[in-house]
Amino acid sequence: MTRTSRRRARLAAAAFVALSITLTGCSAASASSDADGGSLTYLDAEIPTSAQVQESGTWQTRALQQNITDRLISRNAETNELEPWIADSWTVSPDGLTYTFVIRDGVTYSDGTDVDAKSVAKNLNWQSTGDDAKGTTPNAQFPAGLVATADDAASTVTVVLPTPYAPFLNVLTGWGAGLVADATIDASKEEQSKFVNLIGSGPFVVTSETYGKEIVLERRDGYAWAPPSSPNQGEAHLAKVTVIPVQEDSVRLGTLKSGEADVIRYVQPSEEQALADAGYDIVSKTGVGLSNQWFLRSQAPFLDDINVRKALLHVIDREQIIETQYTDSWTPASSVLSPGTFGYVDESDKLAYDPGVANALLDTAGWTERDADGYRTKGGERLTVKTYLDVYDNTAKSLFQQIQNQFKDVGIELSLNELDYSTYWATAFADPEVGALRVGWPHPDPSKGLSEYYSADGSDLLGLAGSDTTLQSLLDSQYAATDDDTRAAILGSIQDYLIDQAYVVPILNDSQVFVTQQRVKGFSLTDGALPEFYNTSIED
Amino acid sequence: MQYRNHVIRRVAQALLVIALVYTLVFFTLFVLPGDPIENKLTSPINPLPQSAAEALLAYYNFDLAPLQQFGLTVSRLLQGDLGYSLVSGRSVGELVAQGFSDTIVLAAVAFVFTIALSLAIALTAVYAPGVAVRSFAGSMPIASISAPSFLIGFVLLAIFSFQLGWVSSVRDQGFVSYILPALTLALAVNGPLTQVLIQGLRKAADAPFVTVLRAKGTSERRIALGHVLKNGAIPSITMLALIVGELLAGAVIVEAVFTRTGLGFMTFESVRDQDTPMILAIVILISSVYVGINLVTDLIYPILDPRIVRPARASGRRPRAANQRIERASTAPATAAATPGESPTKASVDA
Amino acid sequence: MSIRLQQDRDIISSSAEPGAIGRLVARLGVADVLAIVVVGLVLLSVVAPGVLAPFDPLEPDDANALAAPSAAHWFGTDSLGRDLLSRVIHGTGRTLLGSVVAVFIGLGVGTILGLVAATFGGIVDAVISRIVDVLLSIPGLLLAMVVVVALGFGTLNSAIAVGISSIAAFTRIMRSEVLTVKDLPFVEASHHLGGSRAYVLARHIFPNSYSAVLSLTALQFGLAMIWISSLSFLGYGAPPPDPEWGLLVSEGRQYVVSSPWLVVVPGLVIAATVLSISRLSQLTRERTAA
Repeated sequence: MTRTSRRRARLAAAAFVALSITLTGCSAASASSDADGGSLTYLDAEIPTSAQVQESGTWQTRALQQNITDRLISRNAETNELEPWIADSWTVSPDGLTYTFVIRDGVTYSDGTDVDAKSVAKNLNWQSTGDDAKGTTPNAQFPAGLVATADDAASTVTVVLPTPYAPFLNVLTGWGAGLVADATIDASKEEQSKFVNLIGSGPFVVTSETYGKEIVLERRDGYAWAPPSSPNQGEAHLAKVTVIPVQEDSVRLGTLKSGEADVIRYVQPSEEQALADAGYDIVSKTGVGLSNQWFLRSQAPFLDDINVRKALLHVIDREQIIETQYTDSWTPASSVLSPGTFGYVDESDKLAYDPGVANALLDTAGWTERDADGYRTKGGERLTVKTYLDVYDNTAKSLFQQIQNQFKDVGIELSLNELDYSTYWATAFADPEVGALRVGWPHPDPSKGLSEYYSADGSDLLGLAGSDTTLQSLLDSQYAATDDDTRAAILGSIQDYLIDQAYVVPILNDSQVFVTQQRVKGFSLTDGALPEFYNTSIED
Repeated sequence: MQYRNHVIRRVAQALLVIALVYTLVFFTLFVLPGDPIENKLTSPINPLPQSAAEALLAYYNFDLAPLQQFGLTVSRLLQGDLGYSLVSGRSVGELVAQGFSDTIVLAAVAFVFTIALSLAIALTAVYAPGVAVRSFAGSMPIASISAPSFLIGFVLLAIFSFQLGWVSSVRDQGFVSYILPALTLALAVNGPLTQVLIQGLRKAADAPFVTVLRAKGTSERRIALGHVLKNGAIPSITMLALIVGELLAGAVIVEAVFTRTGLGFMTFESVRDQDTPMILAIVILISSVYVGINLVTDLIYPILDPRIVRPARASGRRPRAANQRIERASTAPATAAATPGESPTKASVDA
Repeated sequence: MSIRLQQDRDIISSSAEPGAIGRLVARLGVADVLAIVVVGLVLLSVVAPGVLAPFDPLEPDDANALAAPSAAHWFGTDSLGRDLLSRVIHGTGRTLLGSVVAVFIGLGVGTILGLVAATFGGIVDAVISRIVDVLLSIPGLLLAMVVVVALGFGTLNSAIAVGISSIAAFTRIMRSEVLTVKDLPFVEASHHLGGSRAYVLARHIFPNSYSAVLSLTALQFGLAMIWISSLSFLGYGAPPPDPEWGLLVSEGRQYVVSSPWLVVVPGLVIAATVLSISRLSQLTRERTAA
């Protein structure tokens, strides 16, 4: 016990020296007055559930994986460029079927085993196939039929794909592609679901967890393999990060104000300004991926008419929504992808708020009569669009109600319904009356994201079953486009097409908002808007 | 002899009730749409190929017929295996133990608070000088059940955690952390008990033995605290199970307000996510506690109150005209036949 | 005992009615008057919400979001700038309807089950009693949560869930009342005088055993309101935008630190209403028992 802590102190001192050399610019930037590097209390808004790698879909689980595991490739959060990480370098064959990764030397998992070519190949194969016997599903982001082989002598991993898969490198940067030790892969599914059993090579290690109550991350001794662009190249500054899930917004806020918490995730937009005025730092970011959008199902009542769908593009006053309900941390959506995402094209001209245009389109569509409540009717039927409140968004209730009001201004009724988490997808999708639902979250690769939502092989949210061959062939053609320019052009066409056909109504660019105490320095968000504690320190 | 038969029958009934609860909940959950696995399979965030979906269903035995699944679950249960959470993948046994170990302390502290509150209010309502004070105390039970506990909880939290900073809103500070939630629970739950106590005390205070004691020169204080309280409190023993049940159920709301991760929180989470193994385990645990306490109080009640030939609970047994009236007369305030405000039905205070 | 009570009631309700009311009014305390005023306002809100409400409950006012209680907005405004007082008033009908439905289900099903169990006895009684035991051994809120998840969200569904969870209580009371009445001499006499089973049940047993159940009803009404709002608080309640008291609480919950009135005011309205109804039910009981 004494030995480890002495060793840790020595290492911390070494890291400190290294840091002051790297950060010559910040003269006063001592890691912390505390020789220990300090400890930080972080309040998440949700409970991290399962640490099982392929199952970890929730935001709060990713946030932990981000800090516990490393990936082969890193995407720079500032430039969105791909950079080496555990892979020193990589090559892609011209046919897009063979990838070769050179694995960095000297990297170890927190249980002491090596992150070598063999381990990386095992990870990739495991991600692609899952493990039926253990009830482990494949990682849906990974290409099926992938075969990874290791050459330990040359420290290379060769991946052979049956068909080209252009999103592959982007997928490898994602939180779900974190490399884990054999001990994790070989454990039962139930063991894998505990965070203490998630053994990665990242800058933090989980030392204890009480489900739903807290998860304690401690600094990984001897960590020295951050991506090259990281300001910190040694161990993390913080000795300890305590993650406490607090679902009650008000309690999280009150705890921050009382000084007990250093960083909290999510405050009501209405609170943001007051907190900024009181000296707290607001850290926010829109993750790369898909914007917050409503897809429109053309089989639903009244939405088979493209003029009605198009009208909906112009009905929503996004600026007003942001002004009344949000803050500068949010922006109006300008496409189905969020700005900064690979291939993003600004479509804002096509979805500008314009009630005049909307009214004209609705008149053209024959919705000229009005009923007693002011809604448009045609043949005695009221123009109604049914939706369910988004269960994943804390602000959905007020957001949807405001959109409902804006719909009403042009005579469209938006019928709001509510479901719980457990029945949301199953019920909302099975409901043939449903015209619009919210989707759109950060995603490591836009092509894969769009295909997952809108391709007939994916979730087929639009319910077209491939009947729109233009859309389907555009989506399909992305995979073979391993050349970036070609793929960017296809992505541009897809965005144009989805908006031109009014299949999707982009709403907002969602942000993850964090509030930190002033004493917290260097807290930053990744490309996917996940919190990164590696560069964070506490200064009094 | 008759008592022994009675004990055996009551124990058998209790076990039957628990088994029925388990079966009922199992099949209710079965017919419900949506569960974490189905949700996973239908979610657009993570579409799975058909083969992977089948493997997943097979892993959880969801491909079996309902009765087969029931048989499998029951046989595992009998071996002490509660299975794994469908949401977090953790052992249900561990999770429920973690939650229960926290909530049992909360419930115990709240129980002590409840008894203290009820006694204080009841004694005030019966013995306090001044009609106004007595009638004010007498109206407390109704006031207590009228206040939603989320309201009380938020007000306490706002004052003591956020304004005064006396108690941490998120950190576990040992006993101190239990005080506010336990107080919230006690304020919400004490109504029916207080009412029964008031009734019991009033009745006992008018009983002939008090006149006898008075004639013997026993002091009023001694009569009140020694004799009347002792006799007047007996009917409230039948409410023990009710109170414990209310405390455990009330924990759902209180733990949500105070960000605690006990059984109430796990209940809320698992019902929200339809995490079947968790819900089954929680329901069986809570109903066992409830049925168990009820059983014990039923069995010891006749020992405490010898006037009763048979135990006093109105439900769950065949009527026998011979002692029906005796029973009713002696335990009127404690049975459901009492007047509103004091009816110790379960339909009281969860909020 | 019950017979004597019954006779008293008969006297009061037949001959001494005006006098009783006069005595009652004379005995009214401040609390009783307040309770009557609250219940009056609640009823008025149900009948004519438009008359009482100063604003449109659904009309947003962006410039005035999350305003604290003031002369213009007595209860403040919510996150969309809607007037909370107007929302409370317009939500009254929906809220009361929920409680009525809940009580109706609990009372209706519960009484029938209790009556049947006690009248027929034997195997019927045993089965019903076991069902009641099962329902009673799951804490009410937990049962209501499972039921509302099964039925889906909404005011009506939470009302049904609460109603179902209260069936057992009504059954138990009804059963024990009937058992008591059934063995009373005058009922037995009626049997001996050749009254048919149905006649005795309807003419003697039911009316004489129903009073305790009815007096539970007022209490249950208030409790149902609290339960439904608790379900709403947990997120199982009515969907927006039409106001319902529980919905107001759950919407306000997110803002409780900065805008506490959004939770406290609807919470107090619920508490005051339940308290007043209980108070009045007590008054009526005192009157009948006087």
